[in-house]
Amino acid sequence: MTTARALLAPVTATLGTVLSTVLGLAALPLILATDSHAVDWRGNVSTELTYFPEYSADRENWKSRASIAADVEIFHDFSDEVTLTVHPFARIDQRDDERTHTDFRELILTTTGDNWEFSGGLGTVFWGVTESRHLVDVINQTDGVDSVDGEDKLGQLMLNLNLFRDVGEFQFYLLPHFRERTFAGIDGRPFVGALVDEGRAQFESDRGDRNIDGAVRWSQSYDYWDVGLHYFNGTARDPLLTPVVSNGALLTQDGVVVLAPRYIQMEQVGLDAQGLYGDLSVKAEIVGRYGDEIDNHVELVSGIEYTLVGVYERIDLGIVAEYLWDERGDEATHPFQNDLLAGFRFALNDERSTDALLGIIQDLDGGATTLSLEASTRVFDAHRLSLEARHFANTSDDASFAAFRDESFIKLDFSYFF
Amino acid sequence: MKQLTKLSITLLTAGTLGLYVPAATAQTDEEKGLAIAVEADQRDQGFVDSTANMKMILRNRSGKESIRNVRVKTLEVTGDGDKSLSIFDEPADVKGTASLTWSHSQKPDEQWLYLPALKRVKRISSKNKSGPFMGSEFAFEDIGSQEIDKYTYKYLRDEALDGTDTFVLERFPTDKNSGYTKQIAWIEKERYIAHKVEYYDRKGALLKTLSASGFEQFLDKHWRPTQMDMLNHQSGKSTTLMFENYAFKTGLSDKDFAKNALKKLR
Repeated sequence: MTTARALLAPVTATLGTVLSTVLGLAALPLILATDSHAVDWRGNVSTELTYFPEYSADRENWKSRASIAADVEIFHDFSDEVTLTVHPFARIDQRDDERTHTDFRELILTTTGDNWEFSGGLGTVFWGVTESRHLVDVINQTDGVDSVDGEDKLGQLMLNLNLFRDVGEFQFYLLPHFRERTFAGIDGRPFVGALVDEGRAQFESDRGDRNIDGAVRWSQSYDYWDVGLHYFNGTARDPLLTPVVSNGALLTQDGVVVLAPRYIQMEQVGLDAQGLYGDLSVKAEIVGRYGDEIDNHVELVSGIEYTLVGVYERIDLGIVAEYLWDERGDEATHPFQNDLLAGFRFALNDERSTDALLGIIQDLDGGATTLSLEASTRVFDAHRLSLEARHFANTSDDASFAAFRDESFIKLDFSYFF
Repeated sequence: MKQLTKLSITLLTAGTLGLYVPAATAQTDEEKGLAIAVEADQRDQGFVDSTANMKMILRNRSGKESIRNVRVKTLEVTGDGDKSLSIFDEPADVKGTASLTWSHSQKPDEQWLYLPALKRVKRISSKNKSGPFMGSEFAFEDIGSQEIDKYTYKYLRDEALDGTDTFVLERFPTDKNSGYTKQIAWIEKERYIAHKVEYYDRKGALLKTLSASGFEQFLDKHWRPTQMDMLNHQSGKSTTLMFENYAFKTGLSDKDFAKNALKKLR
């Protein structure tokens, strides 16, 4: 009984947060509906079921997990020049308290001029061209609990000025509040072999998460090429994770090593480019990262995508190949120091907009192999059924993937869109 | 010397006229086909920009329908291909997705897709002309900007189509990535608008027939169909496009068709 209450307490607390957010959300359209024609919204509610064929290293006694999430983007025009975007997100997870969370992906006011645009608030910005890893995409923090692919981002507090000129687009960012990455809790899966304790986060900056970060980007489109250059100065979005030592021994919780995230200061310069020659697309992202607490180094993702149009009746097949590299080799702080991605993208071009992406990432230094399949199709008129499967193989040869041995999974997601 | 020059000019002029006159009387079928296409194009010039709501009704072989709603915006570009923008409102899972095309007569078209879930503007290949647009029976090239240079032409005959006098002409795509070997178009003699187009696949077999109807005139000049029906003879599927709320000269400009405008569309 005591155990049950202890287990339920954090759930009810987070449920409270979720509920208040949901109620806030429900009220928002009413608040905004001063002129009902000026309010527009879109979003989805999704139900997700994940099945892990193996128990997690004898740590957990469950193989399946359910979760629901809501994602709503509300857009309000005060006038042609002034707009407000409110984009809350909430998830409730059956197992992992850390995965039960809410966030404002966007809560941002934008004023637009003839060839400029100024925004303030929480925003989401995407930079980049590659598929396997996003190196230049440095503005937003990754929401690490939502998915394993790093595509979900936390809203970033920003002041942003964009200038549109004949010589290209210039973006300026002032980022006054840093968001820490979210990590799965003790009951989270895929289990990474250790527990990251966000309460023990450390910062190189004396100002902690109030360090004022800044970024500048220039981008331009040419006949065959889209090119971008950027500079970032501030808190690295990727933390360094180090084991916590207590009384001369590694600190553990429920037998799991506890890690503390450390957010360092860095400068990053980077280039992203995409060239399109008929059905062949050539892509590259290169960054140089410099800081007092990291080895100055270069990272690269580069590759091609070739599309075979109508390979069978209406079906298009895209072949993706990308090479991932980090100058630091084994000293890299991520697993993609010398890896190759091979992918096959299918677009059925049917009335259900069915598509699938089959991918293999192989570590070329004799390490792990990750297989993934993502597929989705429209059901009824406003629903989408998605499948995601990931299989981690050859993990024993790869220190950074050793923990993933029993973490292969299949996830089904059923979403209603409005 | 002066006299000689004068004489030469007279001779040259006479010569030019002499060559020109017979050519005009014996206009080839190719020249006549091109002339009809040029006339149709010229009659529609000067629309500046246009917007419309497009409803697509996709029907499979058993008659089951699915609906798409798209807002389309076009900006006329003199001396080059037009710029166009499609904003998807339905089905709900693609709401907010938008595609931007800058068509060109001399170099490949430029095309971008905006994916709202990722806030990502992705440059995409414009070479895929023959692929289906949103799973419909319309290919990208069927709904794209119809520039004169994109075909060569041949006049076939005059014909009465359901009581309307038409020119029948063949169009041969110049782009080797086109999904067609040829099209046959029925162009109304009076208003120079296409009532019907047959599309022949790469094997030369009849693939699809397009019928346009419900023409309405805008700005006392520009004729637009309110309905287009495309029937795929090989698959038995069909798609109907219904156009509503046509508007012209709405004040759109280059900046509405810029890459950075995609993120702000609603």
